[in-house]
This record gives sequence, structure tokens and C-alpha cells, in this order.
Amino acid sequence: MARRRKEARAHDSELQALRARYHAELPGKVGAVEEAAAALREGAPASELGALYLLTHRLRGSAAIYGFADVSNAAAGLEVFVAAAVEAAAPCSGPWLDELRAHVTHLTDTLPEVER
Amino acid sequence: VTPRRLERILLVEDDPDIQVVASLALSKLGGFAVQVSGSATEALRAAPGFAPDLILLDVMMPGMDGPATLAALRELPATAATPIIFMTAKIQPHEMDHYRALGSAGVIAKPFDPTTLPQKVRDLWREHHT
Repeated sequence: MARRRKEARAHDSELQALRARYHAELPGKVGAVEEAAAALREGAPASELGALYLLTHRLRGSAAIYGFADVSNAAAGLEVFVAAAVEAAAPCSGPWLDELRAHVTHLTDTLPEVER
Repeated sequence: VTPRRLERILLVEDDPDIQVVASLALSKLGGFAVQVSGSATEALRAAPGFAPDLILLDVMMPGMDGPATLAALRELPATAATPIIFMTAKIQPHEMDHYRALGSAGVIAKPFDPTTLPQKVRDLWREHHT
């Protein structure tokens, strides 16, 4: 029994260490989304939408699993927005890029919450 | 009939952050032998040698997605009958029906709680064998 409790504590601290590492890496992950979105604003081909979609999809899933619900929710909004554009295969218009910027800003705004 | 014991799990997941936490949970908390593949191609290469009892398969992966990977695994003699559980955030009723129609043994919803993941896997394994 004592050994099991000790093992459970060890596993819990391993999970906590993973969470801490993920936390430390979050600004970089959000930064990668910002960069992919900025590239689209700067004229990258619409085919680059797929890369942005994959980044946001991963961020949504992993942030939720590691316990960062605000980041995950903001990434989910961005994911849905980008997925619709991928499906429509439409060029990235000015209004669309403005809305993209708003979604990305919302995502980056969640980071100070995470820092607390 | 006593179902085969669940010991070896092949985890097919493209996101390294999810790979590491799911693998830790399954091996340390669940006591399973876990092998991780980051893509369908890796999984198809690793599966025959690892001989998993169960495959946990991400649905949305770049390149070959989960359903296509399931179909390819069914073509390999070593995994033709291996139970496969999808892991996905897409769990609307029609999507669940689709996974069942593909022959999956169950679905684990994303996001999952790493601390309860091993028990969820055990429950689905038991359900699949009853």
C-alpha cells in the first residue's frame, strides 16, 4: 500500500513536470500561430492555411489536455474559423484577414491569464 | 470466454505534446507496454513487430488520417483483427456512427484527462470483449 502511494505521488509529479514544461512552451506555440497568420497577411498563398489549421488544431487539443482551458477555447475559435476557409477554398480576402487577426489577438490575450 | 489480457498498446498520434502525456499515463499509471508512432506510415511499419493488443489511433493526422490508417492496418495480417480505438474531438452522434461503421472498438474523446485515460482504455477493452 505504501509503495503504491509512493508510486502514485511519483507519477503525479511526472505529470506536473510535463505540465510545467508545456506551460513554459506555450508562448512559443502561440507565437508559431501568430507567425503563420502573419505570413498569410503578408501574402503567403492560401495553401498555407493548412499549416495554420494544423497548428491551431494541435494547440486546441494539447492545451485542453494540459489544463489550459482558456488557450484551448481561443484556439478552438480560430480552428473553426480557419477550417471554414480551408473547406471553402476561398482566397484570403481583406475582411477575412482582419477577422483572422482578431482571432489571433484573442488567442494571444489568453497568455497573461496563463502566466498567473 | 476470458478476453485476452491487455498489455501492449500502440499509440498513433502526431502531436508530440499529446504523445508524451498519453504515453506516460498509459505506461506509468496504467502499467501497459506502450509504443508511440507519430504517423500512419510509422504505425504501419511498427505494428507487425510490436504486436499490440490494442491500437489507440488519432483521427485527425496530416497525411493519412485515422480512418485511412485503420483501413491500412486491417490489410496487415498482424493487425487485421487488432481492436482499434479512435481518439478524437469529433464526437457528434453521426461521427460516432461513422467510427463504429469503420469497425472501431470505441472512441476516447479529446481532450482526455491523462489520469483517467488508462481506466477508459480498460473499460472500452472490456466492453469490446463482452
